[in-house]
Amino acid sequence: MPLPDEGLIHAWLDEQLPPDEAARVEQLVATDASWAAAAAEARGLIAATSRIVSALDHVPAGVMPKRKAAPAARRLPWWTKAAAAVVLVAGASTVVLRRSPELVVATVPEVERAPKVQAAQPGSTQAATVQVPSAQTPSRMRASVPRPTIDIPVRVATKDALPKPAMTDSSPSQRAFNSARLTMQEVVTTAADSGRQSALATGEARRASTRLTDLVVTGVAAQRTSAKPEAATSLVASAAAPVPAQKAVGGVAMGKSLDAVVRPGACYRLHDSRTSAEVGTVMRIGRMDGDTLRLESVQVASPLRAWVVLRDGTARGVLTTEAEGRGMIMVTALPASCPVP
Amino acid sequence: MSDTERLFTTYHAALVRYLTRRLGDRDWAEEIAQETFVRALRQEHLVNERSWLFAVATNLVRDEARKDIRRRRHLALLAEETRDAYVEGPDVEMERALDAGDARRALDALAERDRQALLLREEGLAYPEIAEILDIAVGSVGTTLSRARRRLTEMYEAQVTARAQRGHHAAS
Repeated sequence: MPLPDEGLIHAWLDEQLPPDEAARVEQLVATDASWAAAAAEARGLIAATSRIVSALDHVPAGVMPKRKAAPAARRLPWWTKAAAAVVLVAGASTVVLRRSPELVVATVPEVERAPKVQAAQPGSTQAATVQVPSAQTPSRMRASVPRPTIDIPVRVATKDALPKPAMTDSSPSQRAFNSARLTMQEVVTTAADSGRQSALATGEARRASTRLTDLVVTGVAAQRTSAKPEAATSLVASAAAPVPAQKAVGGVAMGKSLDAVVRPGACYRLHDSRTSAEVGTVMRIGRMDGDTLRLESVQVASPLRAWVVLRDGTARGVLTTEAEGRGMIMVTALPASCPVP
Repeated sequence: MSDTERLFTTYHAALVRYLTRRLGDRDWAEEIAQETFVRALRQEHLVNERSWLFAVATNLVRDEARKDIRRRRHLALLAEETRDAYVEGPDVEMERALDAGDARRALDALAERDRQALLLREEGLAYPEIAEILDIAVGSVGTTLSRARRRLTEMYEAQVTARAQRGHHAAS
């Protein structure tokens, strides 16, 4: 008779042995006293372990230091952005002009010195040019020699000229996001072009923000309820653009392409996806890590926090609360206006 | 019910329980569970979702413990203080708190691998799953568990005995 193998006996009692092996151990326990004693002891250890481990469930909660909600992102009025763009363009122009060879005192009428901008045709990939007077020629030559110009390429972004997003998914929601992304890129690019266009940029930004209604953030909410911590309700993503149903966990990662659409500080309102009732407070994007957003309650010291993953036009994730009576519900988060502090 | 919801509904309670037992702190456990599910959402496919979830949670605990030992000590201290506060409560509550304290100390006395194997098994994970999570041979899971169970029981009994002796001295 072999000596009792404690590991084998535990595996047998845990019903983790293949049938033939289990039958062999059973036979040994039935016929050998040492094996029987070892099995009895193992049964006791297993029962005791379960009881001891169960005692660990009596754990006080709320011992973690509460986090403060992320401070509200500072929002500047539109005219400050326009002013900043004007200053930027003025500064950039100065640098460009100073880099022109032999740029000297202006002796030509102001109207002649004004750069002539030839804008790119909408939809073309061709860069526009700005004709800037080059080195000021002596006045005696100006009469007979046409003043040369230097073509300074100024890239005016158009949708077609912009690099295409890396994603190949052509789903409606994907296209909606791509569109919004392109719009934001336009805004950023053209805003650097001129102060006049920066005003348009503000409008474009507003338009892009409006398109956030296309985005549905879907999540899983944890809400402490005293009775059923695991009660989960259904989560349904709905969007202005139809969103394909998620068949599997995960999908195509959106990566940073949504960064232009989902800006830090943007706010969302959570809804119980089953009852459509509003859940919690307005959540703000506190942190963006690739395609993952950290949503935090706008209210200072609110126990709500969430991580959501952006994917295929939806963002799904987990939201939890440190409040008493924790439980889990699934929610839909919809873009919302941030409350004025 | 979508896969995400099913995953969440099926494993959330078990995962939080496992993590709570492992960490001794419900909030911390919730946080790790949250991070685990977020990572699951980013996966294209999960072959064995239960072992995947528990493996990720186990690794997160391990990583956290490595990078943030001070925080853990702080939490342990806070938890101890809270437990001490429980002693002020009713008898039943006090007894439960003391029992939990003994169990915690006994569990903490185990080697990390033994502790993980024990807690994973208590959540019903099969031997192959435990072996996969702990990166050990399936054949050694039984041995690991038998050692862990024996050690846990011995340590727990030692804790209870020591507490009884302290109580006796205090009474006399």
